[in-house]
Amino acid sequence: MHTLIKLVLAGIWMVLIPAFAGVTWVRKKKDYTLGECFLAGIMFMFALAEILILPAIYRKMSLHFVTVVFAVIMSVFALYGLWKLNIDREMHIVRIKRELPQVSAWMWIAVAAIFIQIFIAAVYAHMDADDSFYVATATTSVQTDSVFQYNPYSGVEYRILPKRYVLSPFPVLLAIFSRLSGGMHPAVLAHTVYPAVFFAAAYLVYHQFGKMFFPEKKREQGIFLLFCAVLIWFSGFSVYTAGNFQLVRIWQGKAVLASVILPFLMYLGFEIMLKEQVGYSRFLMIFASMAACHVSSMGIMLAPIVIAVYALLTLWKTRSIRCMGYTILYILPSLILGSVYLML
Amino acid sequence: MREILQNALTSWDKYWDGSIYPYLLLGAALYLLFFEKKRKQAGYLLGYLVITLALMFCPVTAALIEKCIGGMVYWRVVWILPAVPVIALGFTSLLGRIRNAKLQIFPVVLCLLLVAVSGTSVWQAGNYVKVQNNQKVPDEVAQVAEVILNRRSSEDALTVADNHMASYLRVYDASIQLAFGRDGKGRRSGNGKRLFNSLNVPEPDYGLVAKYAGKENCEFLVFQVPSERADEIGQIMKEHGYERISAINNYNIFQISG
Repeated sequence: MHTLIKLVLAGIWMVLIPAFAGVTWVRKKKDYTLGECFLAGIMFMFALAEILILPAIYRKMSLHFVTVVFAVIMSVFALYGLWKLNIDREMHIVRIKRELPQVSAWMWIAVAAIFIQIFIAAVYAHMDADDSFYVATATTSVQTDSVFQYNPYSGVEYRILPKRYVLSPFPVLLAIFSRLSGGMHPAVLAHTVYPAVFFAAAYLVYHQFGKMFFPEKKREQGIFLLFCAVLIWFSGFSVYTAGNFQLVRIWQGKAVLASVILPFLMYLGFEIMLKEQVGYSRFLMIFASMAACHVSSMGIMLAPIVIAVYALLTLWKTRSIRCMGYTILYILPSLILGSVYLML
Repeated sequence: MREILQNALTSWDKYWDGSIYPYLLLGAALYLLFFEKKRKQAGYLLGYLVITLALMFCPVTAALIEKCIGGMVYWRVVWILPAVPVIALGFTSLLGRIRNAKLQIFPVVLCLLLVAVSGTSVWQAGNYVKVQNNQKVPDEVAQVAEVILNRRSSEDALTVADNHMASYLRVYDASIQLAFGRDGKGRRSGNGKRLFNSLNVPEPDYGLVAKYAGKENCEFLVFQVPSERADEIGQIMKEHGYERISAINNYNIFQISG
């Protein structure tokens, strides 16, 4: 299949479908944006992948079966979201017509800086030997039409599943996207398409922070995002920074965790836990928590810490123990998967 | 307790590696604390920052976190600090006090330059190279993989490769079966461990490598050969049934003959 068609399919499954599917979870907020839909859709997509792939591993299901089920469920939610978006289209058209001329020059400069980062990551290569597990898991899954049945390092059949990685099967999602993109090579998808999608997601999170800190102040929103872009751009002083992980190996789960999911969880802490009038569906917090577990085993441990800190802040703010009920719900995925991890 | 605190401090130093970003974070936090009290979210953001720092450095919580994530990667706890939003908020709030858009330009550019010189460009740190293949593996890996794919007798044909090559061959094409992968992982037998150990030493005994490879039923061997020893190693391999079929950069590819 022609490369352009594969790229279009990748764009549909990694951008449009999650964006439409995300409408359901943000629509409670009256002035929700397409960027918020996309972020919510990504979290929902990761959560869905976690629910589908884990049993598939233990039941030894084929990759194509998991792909079909994933595609059907995402399509259903995307169609529903598209229908709701159509109902709200007037609102969006009016808002875009009103806000587009107001976008500040700083915002355009920030967007240009982000595009440069995406261009460099898509065109140039960063060699990381960790790909021998993460990307090779995807290429192995595609090659064998299986899910975590063969050791990606050598191709031999697994005798014992790698407990450290199997609860966070983010590489299998790469294999799923490879199939949905008309067979685009998983390494090409990871190294070229993923940077475009996840850089956009990361900076959309910071844009949400900017809108929260500076409502209606377009100039400040642009300056804020530009500072975020430059801070991340120049975080190459150590290989451990979240910014370095984002810019050089965004296709690995721990990079998505550090640069997209943990910051989004911090943002959701403000919007869902600390706000009296919750704008988003509370399910979004659960999806983000599951997304953290899906992309990296580190997420199973770090996401509940983020949520617990916001729970403390909410407790201090409201002096009410009721928030603890929701907190337990939000960290439930980590509690369950953490327990399974200890039992394995 | 002391070791745990020491590990937390070491992880902190490792993360920031001498840059002044933590001081930018401190400066931004203090500015927000003293001058942006009216901004509600700033208060909660600072509260979040203080609590996460306390969790990171309090020996009791640090010990618990270390038990969960491992002491070697404790530096990843810094990922839950809102360093980027706090620093960006600090700068933006300060610069937002200049209401005139034209007057604001120079201070904004100055502050952006401050951030830039305080850090290191991710691209300058030697992180990117240009390659000719779309999978973005080292070019020599792609070329070696193509040779193996064209010359193998069956899809089950086993390849032995050194650590560098083994890390990327199956990223390029997962139909290539390896005797072992990166750091010897995924090896198929005890002999595979001996084979890995014999190949990945500074001065391999190539006769031993070929012997173990034959025992492992490997069709291909791929490893770096110093140019001055190319003929000698070629002869050793030939005596053990492996013919050199290609040379890519310093890598020689040997295939079992017959």
